[in-house]
Amino acid sequence: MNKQLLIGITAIISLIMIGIGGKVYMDKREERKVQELLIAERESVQALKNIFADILEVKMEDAGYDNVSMTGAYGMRVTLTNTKGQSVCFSYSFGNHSREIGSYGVIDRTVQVKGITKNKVKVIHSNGKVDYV
Amino acid sequence: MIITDKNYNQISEQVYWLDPKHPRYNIDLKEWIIQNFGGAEFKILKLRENSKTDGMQAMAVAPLDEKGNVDTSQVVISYAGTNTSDFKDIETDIRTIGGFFDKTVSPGFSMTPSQARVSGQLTSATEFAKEVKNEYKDAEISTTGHSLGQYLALYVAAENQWKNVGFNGPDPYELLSPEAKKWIKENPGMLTNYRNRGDELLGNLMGDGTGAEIKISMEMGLMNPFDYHGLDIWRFDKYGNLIIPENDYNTKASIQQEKHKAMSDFSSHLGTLKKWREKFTASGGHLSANERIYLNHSQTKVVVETMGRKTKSAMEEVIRINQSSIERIEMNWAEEVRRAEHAAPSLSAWEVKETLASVGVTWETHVMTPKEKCQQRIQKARRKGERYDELAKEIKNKIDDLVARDQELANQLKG
Repeated sequence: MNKQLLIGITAIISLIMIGIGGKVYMDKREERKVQELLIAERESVQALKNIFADILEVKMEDAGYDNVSMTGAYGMRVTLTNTKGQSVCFSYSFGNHSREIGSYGVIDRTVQVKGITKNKVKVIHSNGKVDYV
Repeated sequence: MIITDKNYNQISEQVYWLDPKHPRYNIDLKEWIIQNFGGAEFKILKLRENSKTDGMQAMAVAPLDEKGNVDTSQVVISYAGTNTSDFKDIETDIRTIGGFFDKTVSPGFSMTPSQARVSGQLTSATEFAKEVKNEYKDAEISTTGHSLGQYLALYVAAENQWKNVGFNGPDPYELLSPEAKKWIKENPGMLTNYRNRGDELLGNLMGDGTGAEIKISMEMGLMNPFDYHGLDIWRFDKYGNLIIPENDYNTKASIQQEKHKAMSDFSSHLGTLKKWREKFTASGGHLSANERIYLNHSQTKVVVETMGRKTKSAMEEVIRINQSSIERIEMNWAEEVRRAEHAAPSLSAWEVKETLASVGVTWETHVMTPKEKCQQRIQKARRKGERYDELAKEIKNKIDDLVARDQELANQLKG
């Protein structure tokens, strides 16, 4: 009886430990993914600065990694505001390996002017955090 | 405009995000919007979104010219691959690509183009291509896709005798019609399926019956097997050409890539010439003598250039093989001498060489003569390459001369 009880307790403790371990692992993985997304958002704005001129602010409306179709890319939807105060909302993809903007929608050429932005750009991340790139 | 590997790669990516059920659904992807794909701007001509029926997504796009006008002389059709959160895509992978669930044959597994296999996404892909073909009759159409999308794109390209450039696709050869199989055999290089050496679980399935495969070692080491299937793994140079890392495994892939590009350029140039012929005779008249000479010379030039590129890549292969032979010859000689010295430690180096010479093994016979032969072959290969360049140049000069002399022809070509 004592032996069975001991086995039972050991099994329960093992299950609890596996459960806690699994939870910690999943939390850490989730946290790592959030960090990776923020880095991708930041780097992608840096890449946008080499495509468009006169960017003042980029607000991430929606951002995430494509985890269902092996494109290996992040998809971002942003509102870009230029130094004249004009805004445009468009989407672009950012490669996880290439760290480059792969494609983007050309919605309003008066705001999406090709060129380079040299000044610091305000980034409002998808989690609301503000950053300057 | 030349549509590059990089453009095809990005078009293949975005077509996935047409699906409203996809977590990265791109709300902006609508007909007539402009999208930059891998550094070049395209207009979306036509979309097909079947998430409510068979799960297929397809998109037809055309590049913008320097003035920003849409140039529908070239159209790219792309198909979306597997969205793992969509059961219809998974079912298509198993039924159409794998040949399972076919109740018409026993034991539910088919190697033939049965109705059960071609229904659904493959049929929708074919219908979409037919509609695009009817709407853009004069366009040079090509197809692209990734994974399941490339499977559909290869199938559609082969059946319509179009060019294809895609990524990580299983091969649809067994489903093709006899006509498509014949066309593939007679036109090698028109279909290009870039595959990752490590992608054995997904992209490299179903063999390479179409001969479209260019299998590349991306030097990724050991990693999650599904990572080899990624569309973002591929790298491109500043011209948008897919970069094949230089290593022993990739020698074949580099040569194949050059041959495929030569073949697709050849077909594109011939298409242009066909359009010129139609333009010259559009008014119902016959070709003038100079027009005929221009077209014939241009056609010859295209053939010579293509042959030149194919010859050049073959010559480069000859040179590379001979250069590595030279290195091996020298290494083998050093190894031979070392082993002989090891076998007879009491003999001096000079005595070892004397003994080897007594049985006909000398530096001259085993290094010098074979090296000379290799070098002669390298020289010959180089001369052949140069001769082709001269021929292409000569024909080009003749065409330029003709156009310069014939003002009317020059104006026709400008217009």
